Amino acid sequence: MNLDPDDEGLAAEYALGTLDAAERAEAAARRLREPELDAAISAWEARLAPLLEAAPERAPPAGLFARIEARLDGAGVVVELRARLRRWRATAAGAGALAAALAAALAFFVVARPTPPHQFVAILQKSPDAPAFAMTVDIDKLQFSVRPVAAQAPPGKSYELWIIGPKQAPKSLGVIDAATGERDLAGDKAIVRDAMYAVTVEPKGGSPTGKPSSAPVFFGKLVAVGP
Amino acid sequence: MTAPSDLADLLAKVAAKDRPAFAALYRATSAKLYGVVARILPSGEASEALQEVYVKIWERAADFDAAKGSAYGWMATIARNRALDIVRRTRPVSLEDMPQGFEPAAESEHPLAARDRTEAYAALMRCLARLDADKRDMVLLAYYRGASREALSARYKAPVGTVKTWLRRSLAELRDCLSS
Repeated sequence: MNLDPDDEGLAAEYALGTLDAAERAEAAARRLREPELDAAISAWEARLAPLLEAAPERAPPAGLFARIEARLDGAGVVVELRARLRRWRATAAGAGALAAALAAALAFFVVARPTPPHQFVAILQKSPDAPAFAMTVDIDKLQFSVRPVAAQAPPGKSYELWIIGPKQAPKSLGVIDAATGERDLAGDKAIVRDAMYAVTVEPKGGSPTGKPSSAPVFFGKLVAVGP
Repeated sequence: MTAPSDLADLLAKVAAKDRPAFAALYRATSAKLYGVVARILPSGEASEALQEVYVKIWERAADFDAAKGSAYGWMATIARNRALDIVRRTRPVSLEDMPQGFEPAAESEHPLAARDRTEAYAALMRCLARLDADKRDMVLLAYYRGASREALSARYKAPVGTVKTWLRRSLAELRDCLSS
């Protein structure tokens, strides 16, 4: 293994669970684009997983499976998004008026707008209480739009959106500015549906190389909001 | 518990969006996975986390690769990671705040039960047994109960940086022992 010893220790502690929240989020983001680190974490997870064979069982609350099934169906997802929005609003109340206004805008966009079929959203975030971008995807038309919720690029920098298909290299979907209209998404529908979407900080105007030049700061996957 | 090969078969069907197979998978594994998350999170958060875990298993079943580990290990790792994401994000846990009823000694007392478990489990136990008692307990507390470096630092009266060094050294010893 030719991994940096610090990264080997990082992978080990990620699997053990002792990284703090910031380190953990950073490691999770880095493993999306660093196959060696990802492999090291997976190896550590597999190494320690046998410990879970000895874990005592505990019966989960009755009715839990029905709630899980509801989430698999579209309705459940919207309910879940509403619940998340409530949490964000609660957070936003402490985090300032801007975040609150943006969370309210997002609430309109997720809840009040009718949900046409084949409509998906992804909330790109660093952690579940910090939504940064809301992305909508129309799988049929292969179009997407993305809007900032509570993110502002550092001065002289741009946010760039990437699609990362399963076992594929990140592909740029362009720079995100304040108002990004509908844009086309090339590619296979199944890949678009299952891909990871990530946002990196790039030089103004976007990465000059066509590849991300830093680790993603926000990321998320699509969830269905329509049938 | 359901035989490991059966779980892998169920997961393959779940990857093909087979709902009855998903229900069977839930029946076979939910008490185990709930045990995993309920040792890290209090019960309200644990049941919420378990729902998210099964939704993720449903969505990601196709990612399971039998060459890399057992089906149960794959699912339990998803469950643990979810619980850890929540606990790290929401609060610095002290060991006193953790869900009750689990002590490290109880986790590592399975020399006889090990006969019934897999070879991988037995090998890991043998290697854990080679660590100093304190270091082994730290690894087990972190793994089973989600203990943070800070919580371990308080319990073992050592600076956080020292705890980090100990953990990384113990894990490296474990890896070397397992590969020898």
